[in-house]
Amino acid sequence: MTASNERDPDRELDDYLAGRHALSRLYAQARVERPTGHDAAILAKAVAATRAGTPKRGGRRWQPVLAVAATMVLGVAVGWNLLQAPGTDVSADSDSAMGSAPLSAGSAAPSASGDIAALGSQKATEAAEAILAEDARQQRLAQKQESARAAQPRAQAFAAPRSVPSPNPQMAAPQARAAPPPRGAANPSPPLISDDPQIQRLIDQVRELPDGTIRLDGKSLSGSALAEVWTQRWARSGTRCSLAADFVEFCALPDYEDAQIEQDGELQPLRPVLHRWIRNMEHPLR
Amino acid sequence: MSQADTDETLMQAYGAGDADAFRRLYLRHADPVYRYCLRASGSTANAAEFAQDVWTRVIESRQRYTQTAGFKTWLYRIAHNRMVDHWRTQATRGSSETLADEQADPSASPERRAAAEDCVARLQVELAGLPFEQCELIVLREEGELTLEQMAGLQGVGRETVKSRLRYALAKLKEALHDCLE
Repeated sequence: MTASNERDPDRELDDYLAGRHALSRLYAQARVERPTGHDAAILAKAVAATRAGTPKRGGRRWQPVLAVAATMVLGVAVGWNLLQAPGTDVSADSDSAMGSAPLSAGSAAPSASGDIAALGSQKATEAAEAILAEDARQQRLAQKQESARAAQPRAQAFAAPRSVPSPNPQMAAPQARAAPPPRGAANPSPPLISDDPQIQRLIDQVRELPDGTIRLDGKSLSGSALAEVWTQRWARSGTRCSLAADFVEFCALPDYEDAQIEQDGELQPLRPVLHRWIRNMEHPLR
Repeated sequence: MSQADTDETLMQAYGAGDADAFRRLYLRHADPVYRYCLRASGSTANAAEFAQDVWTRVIESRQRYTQTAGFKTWLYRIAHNRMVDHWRTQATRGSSETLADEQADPSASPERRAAAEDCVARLQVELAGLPFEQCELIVLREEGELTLEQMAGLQGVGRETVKSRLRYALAKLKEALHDCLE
């Protein structure tokens, strides 16, 4: 084979690739057209595929997005309920928070129930329970804040007289100053049935004290009048005075911090005596 | 969408839901794809079915098509894979009833043998007699106008291998059809 013969195939290939080869002309004559029997079926399949929308793989891609969106909607609903529920604003004044705390639990419950009906799912039930639990937690937090405030120096905490009406002119001098918001201003609610029974016994014990046993600023106080004042404060205190010890600190002692009680022939500060009575409630001293 | 839209933009439009874009693509390439299947399979009986399979695959894969690949290369790769599957099931090319068998059978009817004397018919016979890789290159070049690089990528071989195969194919066809190619 000569060199020129070896180059022929290359030249022939170049001609073929350039469209100059006789084979291309012959091939063009050999071209046949497709049978059109399948055209309609293929085009119909193509149209059906577009009408079917996004293929399954695309649909699965949207599922996480949809789940996130649903979670966000549920989260916003729960958050809105938390913000709307009264007594949940920890930054609010603790007194007003305390005053509204007993109502907040009761008012949050119907709201949560409404949400349950609206959402109609197990998650909604859990969300409502979370709202109620949050309300209870906020109540406890408000109580702790009030306790801390009560522990402040007396001169700062009880600088102004309290505006609690005294049934006895003898008791008119000590005035309530920072009374907590009543459950019902016009008609104070009775003490909660869950309140500590020791409170009532403590009040009764004070009521039975002989006149002159308790003294404030050199004046004798009537035990029955003092018991009446404390009863009214208790009734208006909400849950703040549910425990006997809390009652002494938050309901009984305000305005009577300097009160003294005569025991065993000696005048003693009223506060420790009241707490001792509570501790020895099963064995009262008097 | 204008008449000058490329295959690639039409395919992307179809992937986005434009059914008319597919119709235009189909009208452009339906005949070449059919002929590819016809030449590569060598069977008129199966070519239409193979072509339908190819277009069905195009429809199913519309979301996966990216413009990084030329549409014709992508289309003929689908067709190539379909033919490879076919030949795998047939074990060897020509074991089934093929165009070559139909037209080169010496025991065929006188009419068919007379038709085989026609250059066009002889070309079909000679194409069917080529090895599949060589025949496919001729068809891809004639029908799809694929470049050497595109054909190399489709067959999974180097560019020089494609050139070598084409040289062999041209030499055989020229030898068999020398009187038709002058």
